[in-house]
Amino acid sequence: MPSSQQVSTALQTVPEAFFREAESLVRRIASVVTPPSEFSFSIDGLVIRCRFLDPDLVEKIRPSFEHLASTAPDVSPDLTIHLWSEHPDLPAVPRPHPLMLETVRKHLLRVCSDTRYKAFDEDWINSRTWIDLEAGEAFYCVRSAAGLPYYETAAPMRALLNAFLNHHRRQLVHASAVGDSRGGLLLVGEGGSGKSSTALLCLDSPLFHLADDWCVIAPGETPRLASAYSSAKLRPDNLHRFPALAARIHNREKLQEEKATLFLNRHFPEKLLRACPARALILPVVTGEATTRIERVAGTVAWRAMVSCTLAQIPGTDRDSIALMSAFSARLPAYRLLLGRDLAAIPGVLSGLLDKLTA
Amino acid sequence: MSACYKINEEALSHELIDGEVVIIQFDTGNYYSLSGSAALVWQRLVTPASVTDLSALFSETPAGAADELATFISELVQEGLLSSAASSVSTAPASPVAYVKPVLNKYTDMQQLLLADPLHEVQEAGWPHTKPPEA
Repeated sequence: MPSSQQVSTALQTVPEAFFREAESLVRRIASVVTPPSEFSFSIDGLVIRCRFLDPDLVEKIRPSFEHLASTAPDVSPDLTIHLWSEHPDLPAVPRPHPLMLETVRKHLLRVCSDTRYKAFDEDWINSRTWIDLEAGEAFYCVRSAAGLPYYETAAPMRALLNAFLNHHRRQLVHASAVGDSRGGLLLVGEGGSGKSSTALLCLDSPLFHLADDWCVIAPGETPRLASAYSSAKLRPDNLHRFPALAARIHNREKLQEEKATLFLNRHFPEKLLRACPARALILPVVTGEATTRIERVAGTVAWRAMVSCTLAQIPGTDRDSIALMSAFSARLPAYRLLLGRDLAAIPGVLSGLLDKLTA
Repeated sequence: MSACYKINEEALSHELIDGEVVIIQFDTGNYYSLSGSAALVWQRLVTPASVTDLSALFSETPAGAADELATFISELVQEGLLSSAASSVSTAPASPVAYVKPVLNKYTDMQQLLLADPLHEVQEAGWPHTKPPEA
């Protein structure tokens, strides 16, 4: 086919049409269920309102965002999310046509997505989501509230939120973060590198906890870190290092199959930080040595760790996500945190680095 | 007139991080790093430049330097990082630096993440089976 030949634009109508199908369904459901409960929260100044059409979803979704609860309910939200779960008495959720699934990449239904509309089909959590980025409206449908896995309850709606955050020049990254009024440190690296342990150790120090596993970054003249979720997760075999947390684990009875999950807002509300300027990228490494040290590392090493972990775990990430992570990394120094056996000393090492970076 | 080149912006994301240029090529899933003179050349190519323009970045070019620079440019073109430009665009002259052979470092270990679909395996319509928890 000659390259100059006109390509059909018919497919361009699919993303909006699929979104409208979902929208129509939501209107019908909203007309037959009891008045939905609403909950608003704010991520780095962006107000998000959840409208729960299924009351069973409230306890699954809300706990992770409670620390960000918006205290100004009259503020117009930047994003309204309608949430429901399938029920035999309710109209069925529109199922993607098999052809729509042929171009799926990272759970994004590409033929149903464009710069304005995104549609996700996340089989691993049995969820289907739609978002209209220009109108600030989204739909989050799950097969059953009770069937949501613990990692979705700990960090709900990642695909949807990341699409929304990208639209506002922010990115959800796989990282933990700590900080205080001097600024924050973003802890990046693969699972098991010590990110969560380092962040949780700061609960018992003058430093504050900003994020575990998932953190929002905002590039710019002064890059920022922001909290999205108040949850923290620990491998059960790591719990013995945190005896004070044992009684606060949310899923104590399921530790055979699940990571220990805590909602920090319920136990340490005074220790949570919502947002702060970013000061450095930190790569934790468990060394087994006696003391903890910190050393400068090339920024590209931390960039690679952040990008690869994030791409692997957040649905729908694309070149916009990479550009945002690159722009964020370009403004910050990077360090390797060589974690020693003296756990109590780790927050002090990080605090010393913040002193140095803000002197 | 020597050939002119520009960065193939449509296919790339690139950023200067800690003195090192990182380039991601979305068509191939490869990524690249450039440091020293290679990073300097890349930064000049942010606006279209000829090989002559690029040579002017260096204070003294030993024998063979022109060939090395041409080879480097050719590699960048071959990897889909540069494309031909109609003409060069002049920029404010910078103080020339000593010449060091520019090197293109290529990495393929993120291809799976950039091109493939590590999260999605099910291809059937409808609610599929739940996959194991995340790593």
